[in-house]
Amino acid sequence: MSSIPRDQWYVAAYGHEIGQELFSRTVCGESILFWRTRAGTVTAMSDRCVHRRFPLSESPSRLVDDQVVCGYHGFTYGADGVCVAVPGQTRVPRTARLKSYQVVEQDSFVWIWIGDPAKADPARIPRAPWLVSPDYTTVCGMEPLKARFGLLVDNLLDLSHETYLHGGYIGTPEVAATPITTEVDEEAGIVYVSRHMDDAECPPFYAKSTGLTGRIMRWQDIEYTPPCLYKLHSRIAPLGVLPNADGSDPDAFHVEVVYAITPETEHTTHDFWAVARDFALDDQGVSDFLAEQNRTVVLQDVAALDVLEQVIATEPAGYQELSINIDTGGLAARRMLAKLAGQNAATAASRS
Amino acid sequence: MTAMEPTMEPTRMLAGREVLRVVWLPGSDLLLGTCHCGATHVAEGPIEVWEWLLAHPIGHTPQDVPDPAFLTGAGAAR
Repeated sequence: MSSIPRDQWYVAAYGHEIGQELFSRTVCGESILFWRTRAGTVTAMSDRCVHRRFPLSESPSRLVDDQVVCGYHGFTYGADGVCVAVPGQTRVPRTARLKSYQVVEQDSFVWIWIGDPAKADPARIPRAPWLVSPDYTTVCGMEPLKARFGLLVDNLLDLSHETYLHGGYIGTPEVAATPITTEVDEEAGIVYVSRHMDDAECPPFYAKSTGLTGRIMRWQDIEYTPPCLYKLHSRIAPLGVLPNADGSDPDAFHVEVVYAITPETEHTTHDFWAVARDFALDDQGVSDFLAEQNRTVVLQDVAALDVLEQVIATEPAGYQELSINIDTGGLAARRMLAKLAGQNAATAASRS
Repeated sequence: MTAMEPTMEPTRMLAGREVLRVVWLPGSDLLLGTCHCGATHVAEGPIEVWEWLLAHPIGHTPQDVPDPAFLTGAGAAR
C-alpha cells in the first residue's frame, strides 16, 4: 500500500519556475505538465499524450498560443487539457482530453491537488505568508531527494540532529540537549514541536546574519501540517530578551524556515526550502549567506537520507526501530501521515 | 492576534479544542502527557505516552475552550 496520502494539496513548484514554456514535474507518481498561460495563470495537466503516451514536455512537443502540440503526431490540447486537433481527420474523439489538475498559486508556491477533484478545497491549503510579505526577505531553493518523503518528515520533526549532522552551520550542543514540548491538534491537522533554548551558543548561520555573538536565546517552534507544509518559526534574541506582553518582539530576530515536502514517487521527494527573515531586508550579502548556508544544510540532509533510503530499501521487512524522547513529534507526524494515507497507524509508528 | 505568555516554557502553543500535549519534564527523562480533558499520564518514552493519549480521549466530551484557535510564531506577533 502506498504511504503517500492522496486527496491532498502538495507544492508542485515555485511560481517563478513556471513561465510561458512547457514545464514538467512528477508529483505523487503522476507526471504533470505545467505552463503559465498568456493570461498569467498556471495550468496543469497530464504530461502524456492520450494517443501514444509521448511526453508533452519533451521536444519536439511545443507550446503554441496556449495550446500544446505533441511532438510525436501533433495531437493538440488547450489549457484545459481538451484535445482540439488530431492529425489527418476533422473529428476529434470525445475522450481525447488530458487529465487536468486544480492548481492554486499562493505564498510563492504552486499548489496542486492530487486525488479526487470533487474533494479539492483551496481554503484548506496551509499558509506561509512570510514568503511573500514585504516585511520579510526570502531566499529559497529545491533539492531532489532520493529518499521517501517520510524520511524527510522524520528529519525535520526532530531537530536534535542539527547538533550532529549540521555542526558548524546551525547545530550547537544545546539543540540536542534541550527538552521539547510536543502538541498535536488532530482536528486542525497540526503537529507542533517547541524547543526553547534560553541560553545557547549562537551558530554561524545566525551569528553572521544577525550580528549577535556569544550566548543567545534561541527558540525553535515547528508547525507541521501533514502532509506537505513544514514551518520552523525561529526566534533569535539576546540573553533574557522576551517578547513584550502585547506580542511585539522588536529586539529579537525572526526567521521562518519553510519546507514543502512533496513526494515525487514512493522513493523520491522534492525538498523545497525557503528562509524568510525580518531583518537586514535589503542586505544582499545576508541573503547570499543564508541561501548558501541553508542549501548546504539541506544537502547534508539529502546525503544522509539518500543513504538511509538505500539501507531501508534493502533490509528485510519488520526491522524494529528504537524511539526515544526526541522522537515524540516525529512519531505524532508519522501517525497522522499514516492516517491520511489510510494505513494502520500503529504499524507506521513503529516502522514506516 | 494575542501573543503567547511571556515565558520561556513552551508548554501551550496550540489552542484548539482537542490538543494533546507532551512535555518533557525538566531535569528528567520522563514525558508528561496531557489529554485535552486535563487528565495526565507520566511515561518513560514517546510510544507509551502516545498510546495512552490516543486511548484516553475515547468516549469523553472535549472541554470548551473559549478562545478561537490561533497560532503564534516563536514569540513573534504576526
